[in-house]
Amino acid sequence: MAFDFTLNGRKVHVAGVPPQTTLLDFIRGQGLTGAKEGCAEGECGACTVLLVKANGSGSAFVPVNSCLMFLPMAAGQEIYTVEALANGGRLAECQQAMVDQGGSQCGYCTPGFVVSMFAEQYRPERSGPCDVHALSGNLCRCTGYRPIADAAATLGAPAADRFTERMQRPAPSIGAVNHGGFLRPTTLAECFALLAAHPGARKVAGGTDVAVESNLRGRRFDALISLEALEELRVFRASANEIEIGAGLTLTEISARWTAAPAVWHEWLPLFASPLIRNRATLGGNLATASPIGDGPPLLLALDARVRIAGPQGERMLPLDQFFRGYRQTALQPGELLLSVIVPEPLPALARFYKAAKRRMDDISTVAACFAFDIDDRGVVRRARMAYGGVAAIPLRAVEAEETIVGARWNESAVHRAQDVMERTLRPISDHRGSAAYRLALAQNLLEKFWWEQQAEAAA
Amino acid sequence: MATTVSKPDLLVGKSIRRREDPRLLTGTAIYLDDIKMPGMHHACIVRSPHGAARIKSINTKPALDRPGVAAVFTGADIASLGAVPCAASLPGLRVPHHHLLAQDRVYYQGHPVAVVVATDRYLAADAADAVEVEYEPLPAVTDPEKAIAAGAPAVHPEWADNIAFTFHQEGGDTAQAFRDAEVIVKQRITSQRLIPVALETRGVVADWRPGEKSLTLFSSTQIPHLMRSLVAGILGMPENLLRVITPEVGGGFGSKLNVYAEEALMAFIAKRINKPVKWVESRRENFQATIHGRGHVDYFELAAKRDGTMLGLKLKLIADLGAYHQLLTPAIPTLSVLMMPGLYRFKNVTADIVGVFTNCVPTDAYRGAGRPEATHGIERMVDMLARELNMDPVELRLKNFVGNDEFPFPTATGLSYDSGNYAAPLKQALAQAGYPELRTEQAQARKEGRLMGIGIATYGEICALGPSAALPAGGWESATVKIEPSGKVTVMTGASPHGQGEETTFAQMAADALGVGIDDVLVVHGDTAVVQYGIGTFGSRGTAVGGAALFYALEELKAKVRKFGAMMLDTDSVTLSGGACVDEKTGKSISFAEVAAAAYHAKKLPPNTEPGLVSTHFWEPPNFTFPFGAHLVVTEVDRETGNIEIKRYIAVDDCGKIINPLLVAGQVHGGVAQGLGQALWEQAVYDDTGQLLTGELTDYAIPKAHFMPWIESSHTCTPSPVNPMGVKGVGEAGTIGCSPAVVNSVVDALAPLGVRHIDMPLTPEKIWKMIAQGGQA
Ligand SMILES: Cc1cc2nc3c(=O)[nH]c(=O)nc-3n(C[C@H](O)[C@H](O)[C@H](O)COP(=O)(O)OP(=O)(O)OC[C@H]3O[C@@H](n4cnc5c(N)ncnc54)[C@H](O)[C@@H]3O)c2cc1C
Ligand code: FES
Ligand code: FES
Repeated sequence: MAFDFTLNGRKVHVAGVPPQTTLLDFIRGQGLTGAKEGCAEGECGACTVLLVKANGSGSAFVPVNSCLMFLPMAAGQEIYTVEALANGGRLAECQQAMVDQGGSQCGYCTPGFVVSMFAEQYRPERSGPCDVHALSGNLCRCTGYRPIADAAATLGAPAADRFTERMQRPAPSIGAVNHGGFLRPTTLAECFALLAAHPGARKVAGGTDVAVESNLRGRRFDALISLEALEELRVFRASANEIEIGAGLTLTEISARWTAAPAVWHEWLPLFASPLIRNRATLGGNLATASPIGDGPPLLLALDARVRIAGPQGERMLPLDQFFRGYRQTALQPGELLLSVIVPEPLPALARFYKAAKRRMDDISTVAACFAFDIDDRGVVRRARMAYGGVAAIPLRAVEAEETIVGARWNESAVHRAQDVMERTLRPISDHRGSAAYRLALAQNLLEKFWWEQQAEAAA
Repeated sequence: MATTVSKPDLLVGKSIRRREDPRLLTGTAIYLDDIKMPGMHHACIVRSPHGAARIKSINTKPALDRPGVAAVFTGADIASLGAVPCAASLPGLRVPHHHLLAQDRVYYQGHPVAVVVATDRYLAADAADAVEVEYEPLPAVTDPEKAIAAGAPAVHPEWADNIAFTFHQEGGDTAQAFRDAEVIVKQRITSQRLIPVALETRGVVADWRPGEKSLTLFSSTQIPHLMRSLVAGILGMPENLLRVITPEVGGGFGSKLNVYAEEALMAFIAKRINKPVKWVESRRENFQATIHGRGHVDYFELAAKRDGTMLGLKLKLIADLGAYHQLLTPAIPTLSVLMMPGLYRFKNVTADIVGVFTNCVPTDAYRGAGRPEATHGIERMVDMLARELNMDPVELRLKNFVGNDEFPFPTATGLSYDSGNYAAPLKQALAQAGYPELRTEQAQARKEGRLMGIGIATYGEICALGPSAALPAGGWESATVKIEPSGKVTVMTGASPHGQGEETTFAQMAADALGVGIDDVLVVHGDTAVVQYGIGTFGSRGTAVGGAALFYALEELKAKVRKFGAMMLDTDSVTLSGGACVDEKTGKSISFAEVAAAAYHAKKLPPNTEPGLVSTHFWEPPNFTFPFGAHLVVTEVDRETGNIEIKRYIAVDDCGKIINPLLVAGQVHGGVAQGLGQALWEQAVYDDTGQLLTGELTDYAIPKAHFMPWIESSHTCTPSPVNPMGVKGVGEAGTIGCSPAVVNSVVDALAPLGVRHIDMPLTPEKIWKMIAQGGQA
C-alpha cells in the first residue's frame, strides 16, 4: 500500500494517497509548485516534468505531462521538476536563454516550457538547434511563442554537468505496485490473475486516455491495472516477413527502435499529439481506445496490420480490420490484453498519411487518411489500401473504393472512380468538428491530393 | 562626500531583462493555487449542465454525507447577499439581478448552483458529483439574432424581447453623406464569440480572521482595489476590513478584469465555516463560466464617392451579451462604436447597438474589448470598397487617412485623436514587403491556378484607458515612490501587472529619474493593504497611465531629494545622477543613501520641508492615447483541403515612445497570436440548447508554437502628447491589427472565385466550401 520514487534526487515515500491523485497534485503538495495545472487534459504542458528513462546503456530525460500520470505510476521512477534545473543561484542555460529573449510574460506556462526545452537540449540524439516542434506540447497565451522559439534556437549541446553525468548511468527499472486499487503486475500470468480477480478493473498503459477520463469526467475506477511493467508488451522484433511492435511501447520508443521505419511512419508521428503525449502514449492504448478519429488505426489498417491478443486461455491473432466492432468497441474480451501489433513485410512501396484538423497538426482529426499502394512497372495498381478515421463510427478501409482500382491503371480517372464509390459507400457523421459533407469531401480530396503529390514527385 | 560622478546611461529605451523572470523561470513564483494555509478547505462548484432550466429541487444530503465534506451552500443561503456587480450604465439598461448562486432557474451552462466545501480538492469534487439537482430543461436561445426574432424563448422571463438595451450614437450628417454617395457598400460582418483562455484559470483563497472581523481575499485578478470595493459591497462589510492580494497572475487578457460570484462566495464561505477556503477553477469551468469576448454581429454600410473619398458609415451592431451583465458587459459594444471610423477622415457616422441576452456565459472585455470588432469591420469595408471601385486598397487608404497636420483630430464619434502619421507604418510595411513585386507574383500565381492573397489592414486603437469621464470607476492611476532610509527605492503602483513587465519598466523609469541602479528599485503592486488605491491593469493603460502617475510621483520626490541634497552640499541646486546628488558648479556630491538617512533622521530640515522621502501621485489623464499601425499578410490557400498558409506577416506598429523594446516585442507577438487565433481557429460554439460544444482545449483551438508564422515586426514612432513619457500603449495592438489583415488576405486569395467576404474563423471547412461552391458561402 506504499511505494517510493525519486524526486529531484531525493527518495519520496508515498503512503495513504488515493490512487487517482495525479503526480502533478502530489508534487505540488510537496511544495514543488513550479509545475502547474493549466488543463489537466494533456493539452497545455504547464505540468511538464522529466522522467529518467533508459537510453542504450545510459539514460535520457523524457518530458511528460504530470497531470496525466496517476501518482502510483511514479513508483520506482526517477523524476525531476523545474526546481532542480538551476544550480545554486545559477540559471540553467535554457532558463537564461528565456530571460535573454524575453520568453516569459505572465510566467504561468514558463516552467513547462523550460522543462521541455531542457529535455530537448539534453536529448541524446539531438543534433543542430533545438526544434520548435519539441515545444509543441506547451501552450502559451502571452508571448506568441516567438521569444520562446528564439530562446530554444540559441541552445547548443549541453556542457558537462550533473545532468549529463546522470545520463551516463542506467535508468531505474520499474517493478510491481499494489497501492490502494492501483495494481502493477510484472508478469502476464499475474496480470491475468488480477484481471480475473477484479472484473471491474480498468487496464491502463500510458494513461493518456484513462487519466483524462479521471480528471475531466470524474471517473473513479474500482481498480486500475497498469500494464507498464509487463516486458511481454515491450517487444520490438523486425524479421524478413514482419515487424512486431509491443502494445506497451510508447510512440517515442517505437520510433527509436524502428530504425527502418517507412517514410509514412515519420509523416504520421509528428501529427500525433505532442512530444509530451507521445512520450507516454502507447500504440496498444491507441488501438484499444478505438476512437473513430484516432490516428493509429488508419495507419495500421493501411499497412494490413494484425493484432496479437493474449488472454488467460492463450493467444489469438486478428486482422486489424476485424478488431473494431462498434463505436469505441473492440473484439477484446474483458480478461484479454493486446500484446502486440504485427505489420507484414514487404511494406507497400507507396504510402502516405494525411490528417485534416483545425490547426492541421497534432489536433483531434476531422478526418485522418492513410493510403498504401503497390503499383507495378506498367502503372497498374497491384495493392490498394485506403484507410480512414473520422468517416464512420469506427476506423475503416474504403474497401469498395479500393476494389475499383486494383488491377487498373493508376491515373486521374481511377481517382475519380474511387471517389464516386466513396460517395455511395462512406456515411460520415456531422458534428462541430466537421459536417458529414466536409468529411466525405475530405476523404475524397485527400485521395486526389495523394495522386497529385505523386505526379508532382514524378515530375520533379 | 565625494567628487565627480560619471553620468550613467539611461535605462529607458533599452531592452532591460525582465526582473520578474528569475522567479518565474525557476518555478518559485507564487500563484493563487500555490497558496496553502493551515486548516484550508477546498470548494467545488456544482454548475448547471443546461443552458436554460428551472431548478425543481436540490438535495445536498448525499454530498454532506460524504467523507471530508464540511458544508454545502445553495442559492437559498446567499439570497440576501448583494449581486454580482455591473459597473457600466447606459440609459434604460435592463439589469437582471445576478445572484451569487442560481435561485429558481439557471440561465447558462456553467451557472453556479451550489458550492461544496471539503477538506481536500478531490473529496470536494467527488462530493459535488453527489449533489442531486433536479432540473426541468427550458427552451434556450444562444444566437443573438435568433434571440431578437419573434417567438424566441425569453432568456429572462421578465423581458420577452431579450433586449438588454439599445443605444444610438450619431456624428455629422450621415443621411446627407448617403445621399451624396456614388457607391454604397454593405456587408454583415461577425466577430465571433471567443474564449480568453488565460493559461492560469481563475482562483480565490479567502481567509477570515474572526478576532479582527477582517477578511483577506487572494484573487487572481487584474483589479485588486476595485475588487475590494465591490466585494465589500456585496458582503455588506466595511471596505477597510477587506484586504485583496493578487499573487502572481497567470494571464488575464480582460477575463480577470472582473468581479465574479466566486470571489464573494468564497469570502462568505470562509466566514461561515471559519476556515480558509480555496477555489481554483478547472479548465472546463474556465470555458463555461469565465467571461467570453466579442460576439458581435455588425451590419455595415459605407458611403463613398467614385474617386474613393469616403463619406460616411452606418453600423447596426447586435451584441451577444450572454445571460447577465458582468462588470463591463454592456459597455464593450459602445467602445466598438467609438473606434468605428478607424484612421479615416470622414465625419458622418451613425451607430445603433442592440444589446441582446442569450443563454450563454456573459461576454465582457477580452484583449481589445470592442476595438478589434470595430477595426475588423471598417478594414473589411474599406477593402470591399476598393474592390468595388477597382482601386488598390493601399491607395484607397492613403487617400482617406487623417492628415498629419490635422491633429488633434476630432472624430465623428466624439474622440480626439492625439497624434499620428498614419501613412508612415503603411508605407514602411509596403516597402518591407516589396509590394509591387508581390502583386506581380500574385498575378503569376493566379495564372497557375494558385490562390495567393495579399492583405492589408491599418488600425487605430484607443489606449491608456482612460479619462475618468469615460470609465465607470475612474480612469486615473496612482503611484507612490518611497526612498527608504538606506537609500533603496520602493515603487508602489496602483496598476496590477500580470505579465506586462511593469516591475521592469517602472524600475527603469525610477532608476533613471533618481539616478540609482535598477537593482536598488523594488516595484510593489497588488496588495490593497500595502499599495494606495489604484484602478488596475487593462486597456493598455499600465504604462501609459500608471507610468505617468509614477513619472509625476518621481518628479515630486526628486524635488524633495534635491532640497535635502542642496542643503547638505550647502548650495542652491543639485542634480541627481549616479546614485548621488551632485553640485554641478563644484563637482561635489553626496550619496543618495546619505541624503535618505538625513531625510529620515531629520536633525536638520530644508526650509518648509517635512521629514521623510515619500511621494504619491494620482494622475488623471487628459485624453486617451491612439496608437496605430499597419499589418500586411501574404497567404496561400490549398484548394483541396481549404488550408491556409501564412507566407509572410509584416507588422509595423506605432505605439509612441518605447520604454523597453524587449517587452514591446513580446506584446506585439502575443497580440498577433491572439488575433491569428481569432482569424483562423478560435470560436466558442453553443448549440441551440445552450451546450458549449467547444468546452475543452481539444475543441477550442488556440495557437501552438509551430503554427505561428514568422512575424516581421518593426515600429514607427509618433510620441503621444497626452502623457509626459510620450508612450501610447501596445497591449492590444497586435490583436487588433491581425484579424482584418489575415481575412483581407484570404479574401484576396479567393477573389478570382468571386469571394467578397468571409466571416471568422477561416476554418479549412469554411474555405473549402467556398471553393467547392465557386465562391458562394
Ligand atoms: C492532449 C492529447 C492529445 C491526443 N492526441 C491524439 C492524436 O493526435 N491522435 C490520436 O490518435 N490520439 C490522441 N490522443 C489520445 C491518446 O493519447 C492515444 O489514444 C494513446 O495512444 C493512448 O495510449 P495510452 O497508453 O496512453 O492509453 P491508456 O490511456 O493507458 O489506455 C487507453 C485505453 O486502452 C486500454 N488499453 C491500453 N493498453 C491496452 C492493452 N495493451 N491491451 C488492452 N487494452 C489496453 C485501456 O484500458 C484504456 O481503455 C491524445 C490524447 C491527449 C490527452
Ligand atoms: S495541466 Fe495541462 S497538460 Fe497537464
Ligand atoms: S507567459 Fe503567459 S502563458 Fe506563457
